[in-house]
Amino acid sequence: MLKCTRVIELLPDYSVALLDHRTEAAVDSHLEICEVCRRELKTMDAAVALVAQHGGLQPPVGLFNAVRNRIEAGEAVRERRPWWFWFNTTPARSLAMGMAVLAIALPFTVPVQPSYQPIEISMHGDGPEVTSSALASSIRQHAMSAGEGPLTDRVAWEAMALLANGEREPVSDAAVENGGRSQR
Amino acid sequence: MMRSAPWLVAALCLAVGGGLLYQRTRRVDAGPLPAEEVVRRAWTQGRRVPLEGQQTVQVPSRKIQVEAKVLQSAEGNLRIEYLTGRLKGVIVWENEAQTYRFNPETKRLSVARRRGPGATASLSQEGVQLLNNYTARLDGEAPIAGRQALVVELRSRRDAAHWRRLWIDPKTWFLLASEEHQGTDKNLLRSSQFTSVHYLTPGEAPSEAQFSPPADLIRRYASARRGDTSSRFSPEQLGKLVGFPIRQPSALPAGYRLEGAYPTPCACKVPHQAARLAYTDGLTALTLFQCGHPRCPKNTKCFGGDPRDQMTAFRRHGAYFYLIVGDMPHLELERVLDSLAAQ
Repeated sequence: MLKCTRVIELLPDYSVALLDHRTEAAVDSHLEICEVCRRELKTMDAAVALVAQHGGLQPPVGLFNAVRNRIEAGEAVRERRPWWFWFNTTPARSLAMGMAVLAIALPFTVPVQPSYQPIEISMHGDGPEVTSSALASSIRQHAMSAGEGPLTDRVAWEAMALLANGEREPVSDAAVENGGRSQR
Repeated sequence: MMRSAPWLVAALCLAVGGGLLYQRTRRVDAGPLPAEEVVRRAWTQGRRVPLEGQQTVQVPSRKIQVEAKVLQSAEGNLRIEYLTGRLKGVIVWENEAQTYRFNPETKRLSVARRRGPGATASLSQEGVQLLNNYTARLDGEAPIAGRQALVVELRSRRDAAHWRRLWIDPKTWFLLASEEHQGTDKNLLRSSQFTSVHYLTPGEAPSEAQFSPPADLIRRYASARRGDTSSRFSPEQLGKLVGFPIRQPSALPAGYRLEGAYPTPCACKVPHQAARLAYTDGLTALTLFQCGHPRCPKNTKCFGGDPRDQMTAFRRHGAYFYLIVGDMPHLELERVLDSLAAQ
């Protein structure tokens, strides 16, 4: 006659009909008279039914062997994280914030061609250095010759030519009538 | 979501920063044009742009600082009216035939045959000579006279210290501003800048009358000035005309070529003609005056001379008096005169 402790050990195999006929008959006999073991069997059957109901997936064929072989071969390595996981690390997020600051600051540090700013030049005095009329006339001719460039330069050269010959002295109309044409 | 927030912020800032950067450095559409082509166009197409505008001029060495109102036709006729300084009220008219310069203070209206600019072919040749003697480099852009201009730096191949900065409107190729320097940025020889410019449409084309003074002004004040008008000769021809052989310098600065030889009055007491030789490197002019007339008194400074003037150098060698005028180091001017002395 089997004791309860032995029957409880055999119950898992008993429940899936893996015991030989003689042991199975002995367990049957014990269960007929033992209320505790019958309750244990009932609980186990309920658990198995629950697993059958919700855990019906079957592992791939050979999974167990494959895992075991890899463990035995020492190939088991820690799984690598995908590359984009790096973007979630603290250094990467710090880098992102740095880039944000740079992106805003950079445009203000790039040198940009300034708009035209005439150079400040001191222009004291009443006019050009006093030169002889002969030299002034020569400079005037040079300026007129040099002024044959673009209009922008022409205005400067004309000013030089006009001022080179003492264009400052006011002359009366009468003087012009009398002597102005002597320049011809 | 919270873990990727820094990256979202960074992306947003990159977009904003990129926009700002583009705004600050955007290029106007000059196409794939190199600096040389920009200059070439400024020296040809840009010279025939009808416009009116106002510009300021500085010539520190001559203590000149003036503003002027200008009008230019598509034919190259022009009118310049000086608005400030010692030239206030002075008007220059230039039509196809004549150049008039009127000073209301002196009541003088000088008339001269028009010198330039020349025909388009000639403008093109000027551009070629200029680019042979100067290297051009695009130096970004800058707003000027309300327009976004290409900035071009021209540097002399002969003398790297001599350079110019040009502001060129890429829409018309008109030269909006120009600075000429010797050495550093601070050593400004001359600057001209448009402060406002309006390109004229065909409907706004100025009349011919705007490029000539009123008839009454011509009748009352017009006169020719000695030396303002002269015909161009070869040095040999001119020598026969003025009565002494014309000497040409053997040590001319590289890139300069003779533009022409002209008769010009000598300032001595004996009335006679002397010679003016005009040289150019396409951008800068060099003028050599010389007198070797046998009747000219030997102690005369035929064309004047002031040792303090950095733009000029003068010398007498035997029967010849020379005066040279140009925007270059004084030593270079002296070198040209030295080469004449050796003849």
